[in-house]
Amino acid sequence: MTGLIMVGGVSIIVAVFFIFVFIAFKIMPLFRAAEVSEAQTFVVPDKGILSFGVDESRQMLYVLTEAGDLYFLPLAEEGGEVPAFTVDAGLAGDFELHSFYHDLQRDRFVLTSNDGRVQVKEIRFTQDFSGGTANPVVRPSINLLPEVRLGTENRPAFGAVYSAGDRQRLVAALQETGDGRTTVRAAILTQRRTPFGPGPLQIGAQADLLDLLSGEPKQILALGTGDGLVVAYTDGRIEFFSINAQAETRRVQGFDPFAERTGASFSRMEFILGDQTIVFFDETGYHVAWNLAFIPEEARRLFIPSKTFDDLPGPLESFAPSRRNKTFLVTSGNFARLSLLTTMATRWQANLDFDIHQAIIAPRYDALIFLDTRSRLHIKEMVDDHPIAGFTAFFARIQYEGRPGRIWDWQSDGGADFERKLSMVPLMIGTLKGTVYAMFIAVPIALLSAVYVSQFLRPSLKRVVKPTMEIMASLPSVILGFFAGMWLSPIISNAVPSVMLAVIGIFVGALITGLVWTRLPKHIRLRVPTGWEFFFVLGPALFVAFLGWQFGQVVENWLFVQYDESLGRDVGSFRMWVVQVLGWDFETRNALVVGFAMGFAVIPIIFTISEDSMSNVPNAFRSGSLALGASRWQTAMRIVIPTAAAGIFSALMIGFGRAIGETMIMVMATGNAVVQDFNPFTGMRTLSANIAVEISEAEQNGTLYRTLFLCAFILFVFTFTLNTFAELLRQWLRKRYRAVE
Amino acid sequence: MSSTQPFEKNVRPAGEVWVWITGVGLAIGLFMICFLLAVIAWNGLNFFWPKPLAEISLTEDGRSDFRGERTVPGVIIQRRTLTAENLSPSDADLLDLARDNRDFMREMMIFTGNRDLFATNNFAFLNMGEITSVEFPRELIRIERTEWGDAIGRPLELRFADGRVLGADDPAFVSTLRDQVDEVRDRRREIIRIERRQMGRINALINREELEIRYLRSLAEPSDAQRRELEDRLVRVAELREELGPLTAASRILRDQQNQVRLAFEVVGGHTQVQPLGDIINFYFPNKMSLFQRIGWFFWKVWEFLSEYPREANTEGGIFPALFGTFVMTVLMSLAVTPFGVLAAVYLREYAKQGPLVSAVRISINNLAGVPAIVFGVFGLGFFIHEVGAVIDQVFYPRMVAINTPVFGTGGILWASLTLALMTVPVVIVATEEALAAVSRGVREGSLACGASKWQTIQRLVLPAASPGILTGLILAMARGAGEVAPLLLVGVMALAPSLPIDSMFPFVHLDRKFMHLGFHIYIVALHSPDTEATKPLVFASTLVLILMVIVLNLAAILIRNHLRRKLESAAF
Repeated sequence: MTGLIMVGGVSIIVAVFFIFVFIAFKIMPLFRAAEVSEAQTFVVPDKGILSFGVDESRQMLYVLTEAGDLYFLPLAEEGGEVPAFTVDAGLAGDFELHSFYHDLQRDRFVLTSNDGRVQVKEIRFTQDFSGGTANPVVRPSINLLPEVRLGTENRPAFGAVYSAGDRQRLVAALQETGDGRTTVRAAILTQRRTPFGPGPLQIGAQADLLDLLSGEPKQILALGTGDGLVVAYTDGRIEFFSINAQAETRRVQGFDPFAERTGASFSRMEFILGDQTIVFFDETGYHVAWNLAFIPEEARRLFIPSKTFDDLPGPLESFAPSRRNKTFLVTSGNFARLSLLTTMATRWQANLDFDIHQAIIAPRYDALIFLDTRSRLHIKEMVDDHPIAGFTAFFARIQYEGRPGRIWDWQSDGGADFERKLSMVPLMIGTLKGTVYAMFIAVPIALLSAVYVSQFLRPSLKRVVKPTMEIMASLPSVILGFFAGMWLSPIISNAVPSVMLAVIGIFVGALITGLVWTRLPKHIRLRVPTGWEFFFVLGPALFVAFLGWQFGQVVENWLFVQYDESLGRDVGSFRMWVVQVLGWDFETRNALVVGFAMGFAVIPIIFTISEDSMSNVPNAFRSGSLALGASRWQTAMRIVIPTAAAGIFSALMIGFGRAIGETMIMVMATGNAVVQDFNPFTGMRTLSANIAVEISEAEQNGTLYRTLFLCAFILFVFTFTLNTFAELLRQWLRKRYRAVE
Repeated sequence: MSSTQPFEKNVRPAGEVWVWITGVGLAIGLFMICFLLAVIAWNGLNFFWPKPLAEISLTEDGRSDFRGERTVPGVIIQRRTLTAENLSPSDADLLDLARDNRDFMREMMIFTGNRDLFATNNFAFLNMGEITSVEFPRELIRIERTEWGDAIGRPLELRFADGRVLGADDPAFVSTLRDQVDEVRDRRREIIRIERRQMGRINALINREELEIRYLRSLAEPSDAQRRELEDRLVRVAELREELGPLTAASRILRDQQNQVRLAFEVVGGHTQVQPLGDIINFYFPNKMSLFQRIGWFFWKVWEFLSEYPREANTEGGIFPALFGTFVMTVLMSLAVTPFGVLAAVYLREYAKQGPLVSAVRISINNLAGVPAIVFGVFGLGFFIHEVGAVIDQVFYPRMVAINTPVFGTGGILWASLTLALMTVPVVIVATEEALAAVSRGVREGSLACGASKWQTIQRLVLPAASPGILTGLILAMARGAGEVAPLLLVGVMALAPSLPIDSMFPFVHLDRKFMHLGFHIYIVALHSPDTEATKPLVFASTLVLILMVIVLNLAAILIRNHLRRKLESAAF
C-alpha cells in the first residue's frame, strides 16, 4: 500500500514535468533544419537536356531538350534507368529554339525562336485515382498558347517571359535590333469573356521599350499581375516599368541591388513564390532579395531591399523556387543550398559528389531533385515540415513582403503564397500589456484590503469577508469576460474622464473621511467601532466617486467639446480627442476594460495570499510593538509589512502569473487584434487568447499547431518560474516565522 | 515620583487616516463583488419577468418611424441620451430642436419582435421628442414561436380547419386559444418523442452501420467474409430504414394536424398576420396579468429555461443540454480527480519524510495550480486526444481509423473531464491535506497502540474522519471545473451537440461524444450569435445560472470547512 501511495505522490511531480516535457517535445520540430536523405539515382537518356520538371506525385518527368523537343519520362519506383522517352511533343515545324525560360512554379516553358517568335507551353498533369491504389495514374498534356511574334524585323528573341495576371496577360522578351542594340518588347494578350466562358486568347497591343531603356538589358521578369516588367542591365542596375492594357509603358523605379558590391555584374534574377520578391544574383554568387512594398509617401508599390543571403561559393548555376512556401534552391558547381526567404535561414546545404546541372524542389516540398552534368538524376527525399518556423521567425524583427521596414507581426493565415507571420513578440507584448493593466487595478485594492483585513478588521467580520473574497476568486472567467465585454466596455469607453475621476474620487473620499473623522472629538469617534471603518468609509467614498463621475462629464464638455462654427454646434468628445489630438487608436473593448475585469480575477488571489502572510506574522511582534506605544498603523507599517514583505511579494507574483494566463476575459473583453503598444484605449492579443482563437484553424502537427504549443510553452515557462520562485519565498518565510515562534 | 500625566486627553493615534484608506480598499473589493452579482442577478432575473407591451405613437412629421408606421408596438428596453458625437450628420438639426425640448436628445430602444414581418433585427430606436403617447393596451398579446422569435400584436380571431372562426371579442376566445395551444404542445411533445427518441435511435443505428459500410466499401480487395459482412450490413440498414417508415408517417400525420388551426392577429398599422398554431409555443397577455400571475409566469419561465432544449442556434429556448453536459463532465472529472488527489495528499501528509522531495512535490502542486488553464487545454489536445485517443482508436476502432472517422481521437467528454481533472487536482490535494492534518493525534496513536498497521489506521480512521475535508476539496474542484471554459475550447465542447453524453442508447454513457457546456454556451452566444444585442438578456440568464451553481458549490465547501475547523479546534489537545 505504501508503495502505491508513494507512486501517487510522485506522480504529481511527474505530471507537472510530463506536461512540460510533452509540450517541449511538441515544439521541438519547429527548430529543426530540413533532413535530406541519401540520393536515389536514375540514369536519364542523354538527349541534351536543357531543363526538367516533375509532376506532383513524382511519377513523371518532363524535359526540354536542346533540339527544342518536350518529352515526358515515367519514373520507376526504384532507382535505375529511366525508360525510353515516351511521349514526344516536338515543337511546331519551323520553330528554331533560340532560348527558353522555365517557370518552375507553374510548369511552363516560354520559348523563343531565331526569328522573333515566342511560344508558351504549359504542362498539365491530371491525376487519375480510379485504380484504387495510393499512387494515381498521371496523364500529361500540353497547353499551347497562341504564338506571339515580337516586332517586325524577324530578329532573334531571347529571355522571354509570360505572366497571366487576373486582369492582364503579358508576353515579353529581349530582342536584338538592327543596329546591334537590344530592346525589350512586350505584347498584351487579351481574352474576351463570352456567356459561354472565356474566349480564345488574342494578341493585343505591343510595346517597344527601346527609348525607355538606359543600358544593355540582360534579363527581364514580368510581375505576377501582368502589369509590370523588371529589366536587369548588364551592369547590375535594375529598372521597374509598368505596362497597361494598351501596352503603354512607364518607368516606375530604378535601383542597384549590388550597390554594396563594387564591380559586381548582374547574372540572374528570379521570383520567389507569390511573385512579391525577386532574388538578384551577381556573377560571384552574392545574392540579395528585394520585395515589393507599399510605400505610403509615394502611395505606390516599389521594390525595397529586404534580405541578404550568405554568398554562394561560385557563380549561380541553377535556381528553383518552391511552390509550397518561400524557400528556394540554389546550386553552384557541386554545392547546393536550400534557403528560406522570410528568415534568411539556410534550411539545408551540402557539397554533393557530382556536378549539378539543374536542381529543383519537388512540387510537394518533399524531395530535392538534381540532374548532374552526366545525365544522371538524383532524387533526395526531404523532411522539412516547418520551414517557416525557427528562432528568427518567432523572435526577430523581420522584413515581410509588402511591408516597408522590419517588424514583429502575427498573422498566421492567408493563401498558399502568403508570407505567414509567426512572431511571438507582439503576443508577448500583448500579454504583458493586459497583465500590467490588470495589476494596475488589482494591486492597490488587493494590498490595501489585505492590510486592513489582517491588521484592523474585527476578527468576527473576518469570517465573513474572507469567504466572500474566495467566492470572488471562484467566479468563472467566462462570466467576467462577458460582463466586461458586453456590459462594462460601452460604459467605460463612453465616459473615460468620468471613470478616471470616479476612481480618484473613491480614494479622495476615503482620505477626507479619515481626516474629518480623526479631527472629530473623541466621543463621536468612539461611535465608530474599531474594525468597522471599511463599512463607514464606503458611503462617503462612493459619494465622492459619484461626484467625480458627474464632474467627469463636466470636464469632458469643458476640455474636449468645442463649438464648431461651420457646423453651428458642439463637436468632440474625449474619444475624438484621443484619436485626433493624441493620434492614438480607440477601441471600445480596450485595456482599461480588461484591467477592470481582470481585477476581479486577480484581486482575490493577491488578497488571500498576502493577507495570510500578514496574519501569520507572529503575534509577539505585534503585541511588542503595540505595548511599546506604537499605534496600530505604525505597527502595521513598520513591523508587520516589512516582516511579511516576502509573502506579499510572492502574492504579487502569483497574481501576475494568474493574469498572464487568463484566457476568457482576454478573448471576450478585447478585440484580439495584434497590438504592440501600451495605449490604454486599444485591446491586445495575448498568448493565451491567441491559442483559444487560432487552435480551431490548426491542422494537427502542422506549423500553426506547433506554434500554438510554443505559445503554451512560453506561458508555462513564465508561470512556472513565477510560481516556483513565489513558493520558495513562502517556504522560506514560513521557516522564518517558525524560528521566531 | 513625579506624577506626570501619562496620556494627553485628546491623543490621536498616528496614522489613523491611513487606516481609513486601507479600509476603502476592502470596501471597494466587497463593493465590486456585490455590484457584479447585482448586475448579473438583475439582468438575469429580468429575462424571465413578463414585461408590459407598449404601443408607442409618433408625431406625423417626425423622422422616427417604424417601417413607415407611426405606431410601434413593443417592449421598452431602455431610454438613453444621445451624444453629439453619435449623431449622424443628417440628424444634426436635433441639436437645435433639443434647445427647446431636451427630449429630442433622448431616444428609446424598443424590442419590436415580429422578425418575420419586418425582416429586420429585433430593435427599433425612437426619438423621444417625437413620441406623442405611450400606451399599454390590455389586449396586446405576446406570442412565443418556434421560428422568427416572438410576435407582438392584437389578436383578431382563431381560424379553424373547418372554416369556423372565433373572434377575439368572444368571451371563450382566450380559453379556446389556451386549449388549442396546449393541444399543439402535447402533439409537439409526441412528435419530438417519435422523432428524437424513436427515430433518433434508429438513425443512430443506421449511422453506425453506414460507417462500417463505408469502411467495407473502401477496401480495394475485400475478402469473402468482408463481402458477406457488407451484404449483411446493407440488409440491416434496409431493415432499419423500413422500421423508420411507419414512424415517419406517424409524425407526418401529427405535423399535419399541427397547423390546422390558425391565429390571426393585427400587427402595427393593420398588417394582419396569420400564424399557424403549430409554431406557437406559448402566448400571454402581459398587460392583463396580475402580480401573482406575473410571479407564476416568472417561475414557469425559469423552469422552462432550465429544462428545455435551445432553439434557433442557441439564441432562444432553454439551456438544458448545456446544463446536463456541464453536470456530466463535472461528475466524470470528480471521479478522475478524487483518487489521484487523495492518494497524493495521503502520501504527502502521512508517508513522506519532510525533505527536498516533499518540497519539490509541494512546489509542483503549486505550479500545477498556477499553470494557466489554456495550457491544460493544449496539453489535453496534444496528449489525450492526439496521442492517447489515437492509440485507443488504432487498437479498438481500426476500421474507423481507416475511414478517417476518429472516435476517441477527437474531442469528447472523456478528454474534457480528464483535462479538467488534471487542472483541479491541486485543489483536492490541498484540501485533503488540511483535512488529514485536522485528524487528532490521539485517534492515530490510539489505533496504532491497539496494533493496527499504519495503512489500517489511515483507511479505517483517518480517511473517514477526514472525509468532510476531502468533500470540501472535491466541491471546490467541481466549482472550478464547472466554470472553466478555456481548456474546453480545445478538447471537445460544442456550440450545439446533436445528442447528450448520456442517453438510452447502448452503452448509455458515451465518453467519446462532444458535449455542450454552460460556460461555453455563454461564450458562444455572447460573442458569436448573429445579433449579440438581442441575445444579451439570455446570456445574462445563463450567466446567472452558472454563477449560482459556482457560488452554491463554494458556499457548501466553505460551510463544511468551517464546520471542520471548529471540530479541529475542539479536538486539539
